[in-house]
Amino acid sequence: MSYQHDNYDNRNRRGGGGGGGHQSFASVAGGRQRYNNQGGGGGGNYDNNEGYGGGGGYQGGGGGQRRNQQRDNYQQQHWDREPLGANEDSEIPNEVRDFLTDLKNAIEDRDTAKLQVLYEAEFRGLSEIFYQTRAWPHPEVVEHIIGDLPEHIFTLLYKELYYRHIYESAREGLTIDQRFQSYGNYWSIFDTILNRDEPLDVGLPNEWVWDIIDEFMYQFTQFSTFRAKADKLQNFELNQLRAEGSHMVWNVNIVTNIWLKLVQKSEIQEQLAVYNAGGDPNARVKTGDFPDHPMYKMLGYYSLISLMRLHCLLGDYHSALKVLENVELGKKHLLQAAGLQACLVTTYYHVGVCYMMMRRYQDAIRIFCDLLLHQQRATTPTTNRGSSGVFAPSTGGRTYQVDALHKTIDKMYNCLAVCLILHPMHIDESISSSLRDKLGERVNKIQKTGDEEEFEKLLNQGLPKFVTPATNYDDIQPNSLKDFQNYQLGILKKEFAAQNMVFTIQSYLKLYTSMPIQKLARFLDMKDDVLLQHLYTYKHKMTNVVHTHGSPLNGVLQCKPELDFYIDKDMIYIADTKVAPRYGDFFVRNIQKFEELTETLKHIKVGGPAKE
Amino acid sequence: MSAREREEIASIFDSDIDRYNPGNMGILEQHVETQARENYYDLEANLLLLKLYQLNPGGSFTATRASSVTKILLKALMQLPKNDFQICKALTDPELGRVLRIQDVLRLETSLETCQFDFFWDDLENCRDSVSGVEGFDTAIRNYICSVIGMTNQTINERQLNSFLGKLPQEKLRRLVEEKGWKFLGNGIVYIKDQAASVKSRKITEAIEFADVATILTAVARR
Repeated sequence: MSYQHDNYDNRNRRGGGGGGGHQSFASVAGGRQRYNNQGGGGGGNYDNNEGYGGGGGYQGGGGGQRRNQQRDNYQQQHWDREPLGANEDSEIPNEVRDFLTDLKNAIEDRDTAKLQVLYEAEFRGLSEIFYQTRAWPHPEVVEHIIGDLPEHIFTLLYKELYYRHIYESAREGLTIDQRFQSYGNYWSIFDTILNRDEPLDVGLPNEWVWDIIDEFMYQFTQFSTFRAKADKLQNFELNQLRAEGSHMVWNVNIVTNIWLKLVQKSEIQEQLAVYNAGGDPNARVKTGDFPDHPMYKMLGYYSLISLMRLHCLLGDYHSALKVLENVELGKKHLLQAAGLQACLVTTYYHVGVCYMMMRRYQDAIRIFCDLLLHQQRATTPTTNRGSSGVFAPSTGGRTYQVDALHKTIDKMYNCLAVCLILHPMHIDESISSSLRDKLGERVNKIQKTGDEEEFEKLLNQGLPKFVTPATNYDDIQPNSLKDFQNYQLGILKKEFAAQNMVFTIQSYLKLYTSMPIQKLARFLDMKDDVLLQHLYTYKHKMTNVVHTHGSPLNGVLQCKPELDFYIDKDMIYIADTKVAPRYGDFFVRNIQKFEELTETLKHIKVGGPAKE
Repeated sequence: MSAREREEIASIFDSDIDRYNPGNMGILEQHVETQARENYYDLEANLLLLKLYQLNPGGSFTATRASSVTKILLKALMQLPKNDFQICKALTDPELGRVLRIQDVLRLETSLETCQFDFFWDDLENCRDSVSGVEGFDTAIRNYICSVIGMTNQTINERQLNSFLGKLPQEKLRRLVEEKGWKFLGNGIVYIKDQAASVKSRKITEAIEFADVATILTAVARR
């Protein structure tokens, strides 16, 4: 396998122990083949221990050596092109050395509080000081100086940070080797977590656990984009993508299986089901130590979220929501969720997108509004004194993540606008006014002129980047990714086109309580039966499945538009909805502001020159 | 559906991991045929088949794939006014839009979604072949059209009603009207239902929930 080249890893493989990544690839590939041959058995089969530990294989072979040699030269050339520049400097500044030692000790001591500080603050801080334009010290160098823990756990986690930092800083300049190696490392981490009899206990803080799962998903989508850019790839990259076994790297089946295994291991679905039924998840009969372990619980939960995301990005909206069947989303969920903002925002955004794409606009609007309102409230100064907003307290200096969250929030506003165009209804006043500030002009233009292009732009800026599941490089059609994105976009564009005339019709209906069909047809300059067709379309399009309770998939068909009508013989009778002015929110906000003001005033010391 | 088939389908869904085994495609394809033949519907199984097609592109699509996808889309169309068609379409390979039979289905869907019922029935006669082998198709579509009328009309002209329903023979129309609980009023008018009772002007008044004032309460409590 051509990507088994990293000398460091070769040297590290002291026979036995399911350590570093590359050998594990082989076992996945092997498992996969078995799977195909038998047409049965478990998916990626990576819980099968065959192929681990035996070592040998490619290591001793002369061919392997030669390949490594070539690879080294080739990597050398490669580094020159990297904007980030690989760090071959074995001189590690003292601060970094201290950090690494602390990190290793904290992992060994399972000191979650200490890990939190190291992970959230120090790693970022040191990255900014020393590693803005280059990578952190190579994991091999670090291992040489600092040492490692049993099962390579320190090196695995350090590598996670190392590659994440490269992804974050190098962006477009990532090399294909780095993509492969980072995958290998994630694979080893999950392998270490899953293939054991007792839970792995390292005391990782939830933030890090979420970031591992989230980053794994992110890098997977990145690879999908990378692979789809066939025309921009260099020859050596194409060769590597075509090489034997390469289709297993960032393979959608394996990625899915890893998450499914984590879900299974943690029994999170069962635990959530018991919790929703009002029971105590801790009191249920369990099949092992894993479901009780806090890290496995969180891994399971975050894997559910990622599975939902992946289904969504593949256009499988039904399965996406089904994954969350034991999670009841909404205001109550948000209030109770002590979870991370990043996780909540991601969850609500993707669930909302699923609803929107399934033409469940009311549910999409509800989900978006719940999250946006929650986020707005959390940003008010009274509840979060001294912080600059909802993301500040837990995310520390991780600016790129804060940026990503703000981007997602913006996308959410775009989707909300799209839903409200396709299904007009009243929403919370404060969300409505932020929406007007952000997108009011564009939305008005779309509603007034029926501008399809503008609608498409609005939608495109709201949708996530979809992925295509192709695993074999040569299966990938040129433009397939772009085509798939447009295909998904087209689904809602078609909805828009079908309803386009409705905006105009609505504006007339609003002015009357009853009017003859003929009269309206004359106003609109269309034939009676064409008008009828539009009226029926309106009724049909306003019919949505609306969530009732429980699983996000549950719901009943409902047609209760705010502007409603019926036809009796030749007459249209119209019923509009009036919204009484709302004062509550206004008062709540201003009371809060007032509180804040008096609080601030108290602390102001009116000085002036000191009295004599 | 044979007991064996039911068992096989159930066993596929037993395990979250095994269900994505490409070996399941055969059984699921057969299951689509059964659904079409026996006028039965299984959305989950159909979505899984579409997903397996997506995960295993294997070059160009085969005749079997095209036929299964056509039937899945037709079955989903029969679920209108529910959103099944949209759910299935999103998971379908865009390339399949080139298959003529699938183009027919997509066109039929457009006319139904935009309530061009007259056109739909004319068009359907032109592409009967594409919907052949799907039991109960016409009836299901008629039910959908009736549901749209049922939401919109208090009364409707009989001639218009019949043209929306694909120009049924008098006797059939009479039976359908009866079945839906509608009434012939004479003078060519059919009474659907009392809409005035449900389509009413509403007024939304403000409801302040506890959560809305929670932040104030905490602020006050601090003092």
